[in-house]
Order: sequence, then structure tokens, then C-alpha cells
Amino acid sequence: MNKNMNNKQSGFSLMETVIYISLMTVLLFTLLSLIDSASRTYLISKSSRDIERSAVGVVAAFENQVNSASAIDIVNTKFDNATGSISLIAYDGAGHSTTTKIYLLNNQVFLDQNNIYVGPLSLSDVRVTNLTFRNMSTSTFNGFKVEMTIDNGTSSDQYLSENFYNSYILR
Amino acid sequence: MFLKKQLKFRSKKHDMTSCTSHTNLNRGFSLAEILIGSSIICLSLILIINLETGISKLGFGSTQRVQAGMLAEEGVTAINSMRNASWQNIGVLSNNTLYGLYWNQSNKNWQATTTISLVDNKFTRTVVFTPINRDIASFNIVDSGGVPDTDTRGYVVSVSWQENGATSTRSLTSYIHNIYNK
Repeated sequence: MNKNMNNKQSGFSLMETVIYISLMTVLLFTLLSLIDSASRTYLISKSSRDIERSAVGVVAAFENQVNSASAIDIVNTKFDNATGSISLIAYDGAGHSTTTKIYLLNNQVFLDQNNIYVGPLSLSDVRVTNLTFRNMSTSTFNGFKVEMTIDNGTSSDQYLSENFYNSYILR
Repeated sequence: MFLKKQLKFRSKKHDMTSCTSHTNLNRGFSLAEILIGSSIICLSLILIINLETGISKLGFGSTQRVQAGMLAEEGVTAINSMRNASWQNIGVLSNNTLYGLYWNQSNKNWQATTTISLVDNKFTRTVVFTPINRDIASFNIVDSGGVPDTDTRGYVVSVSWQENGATSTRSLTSYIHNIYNK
């Protein structure tokens, strides 16, 4: 009886310890690599969402302005340029005009109304690297084409860059 | 004798009310128990993280859906701009034929072409026109019967792309009419 108790308290055998440590190492390694891949996936998915939200925000502003604007203010519009800007003129029933300018500055898209700063249209944690406007206007209608590139500003393997295109005809 | 002494000592140390029945509890965990316990915890964590990663990946395709939606909308605007310039741009296109749309930067206009090229090496945008028949009395568009209306065409703009090994498509269906008659 005495001998048995002594044996029980002698601890783990070398073989048991080696097997235990090996199994735990494999499990922990799998767990850590999964945590790493999950955090990468999360970061990419967050960037992807931010890029998408910025694009939708900018496009919504264009759609909103195009519905009321009737002319392009050519003097204050920069066509065929990667840091482009567009200035749209809308007239209300009383003949008063509102000029809305949408432009790219420091990798963010902003909106001004009657030369007064209104606010940004893209999120601050993404970079708009290209906002090019193409003049689609003819003698019979006014319109423009938009090309926009948005990236997440990361230079690692989580780098994301997406292009968005749309065209608009003024009413 | 030794066992009795030890039980007494443990019972005192832990202030147990019934020392004999709790002896096993004080023995601690065996190697097998630790191994099974930690394996269950690790495997549960692995499953949870895998599930979370899978759910996050589900959202990845949504940017492409937004891009495709915008390309399809642009297709509709492109067709409207072609019509606005001249109905001939639409009139000369064959029915039930796949056309691609491309921006001609030198002419600054949209054009239809039978050469379909990829947008950003990712999206294929096509447009197919269909003939329209109208009822003689009501002038409503009808699926069968009626007379052909050469001043109206039906069309479908489709944008397709590869996603998780399968082809996804977004389509917009509309009509275009020779409203400016030119």
C-alpha cells in the first residue's frame, strides 16, 4: 500500500510528458495560426466594407446632384485628371442657382455647395487614389462619366484596391 | 497507517467536513484529464475561429456586387447617351446579339461593339436588344401579336464575374425609345 502511494506521487513519465507537450504544441500551433488568419480576414473584410461604403457614399452624392442639376460648370470642372473635380449647377423654381462641387483632395472626396465646404463623402480610413471625370456632353445633353479607385492604404498582403465606374446624364 | 495519516492531514488542511469521500477530489488532475480537457478547449476555439473566419469571408463578395451594380447602371446610362446622340446608334444594332459597351475617349462617347472585353480583367458587361411589338389599338407593348415598333427596343444589360469558382450575374432590363426622333 505504502509502495503504491509512492509510485502515484512520482509524477509523469518522460514518455507521457513528451506526448503531452507534442499534442499541446500541435494544438496551440493550429490555434495561433487560426487566430492570425482570422485577424487578417477581419482586417481585409473591414477594409472591403469601408471601401464599399465610401464608393456607395460618393455615388449617392452624384445621383442626388444629377437629379437636380441641369448644367456642368465647365470653368470649375477638371476633366480627364486623376485628381478631378466636377461642378454642377442646379436652378430652383425662382431661378436661383446652386453650384455643387465634388472633388478629390488629399485622397478624400469632398463636397462644396456655393463654394462653402459641406463635408467629406468618403471615409477617412480609406484612400481615394483616383477620381477621374470624362465629359460625355454633346450639343443635345450634358453628362459625365466617373472612374474612381479606392484603396485601404495598407502596403502589406492585406492591400485592397477597387475600381468603381458610373456615368450620369443631367436632366 | 501512512494512508490514514495522510487523509487526516489533507482533511485538516482543506477543512473538509467529510474527509474520506473527498479524498479523490484532492488528488488533482491526471495527465489524461488535462490532455482531454485542454484538447476540448483548443478544438472548440479552433471551431469558433473557423466559423468566424467563414462568416467574415461571406461579406467579401459584396464589393464585387456593388461594382457590378454600378457597371450595369452605367450600361443603362451609356445606352441612353447613345440614343440622345442619335437613334441610329441604337437602330443599327441587331436583335438578340451580344454587344459590349466601351467608352471612346477620343470621341467622348459610348459605343456598342461585338468585341466584348473585360472591365478590370474581372467583369464582363454585355447588352442584348430585343424587338418590341405593340398592340394596334392600345399601343401597349405585347409579348405576342401586335405590330413591330421600330422606335422602341427592349434591352438587358448584364454584368457577370467569377466568384468562389462560380459565375455571378447582375442584370438590368429596360426599354429605350426614340423620344428625340433624330
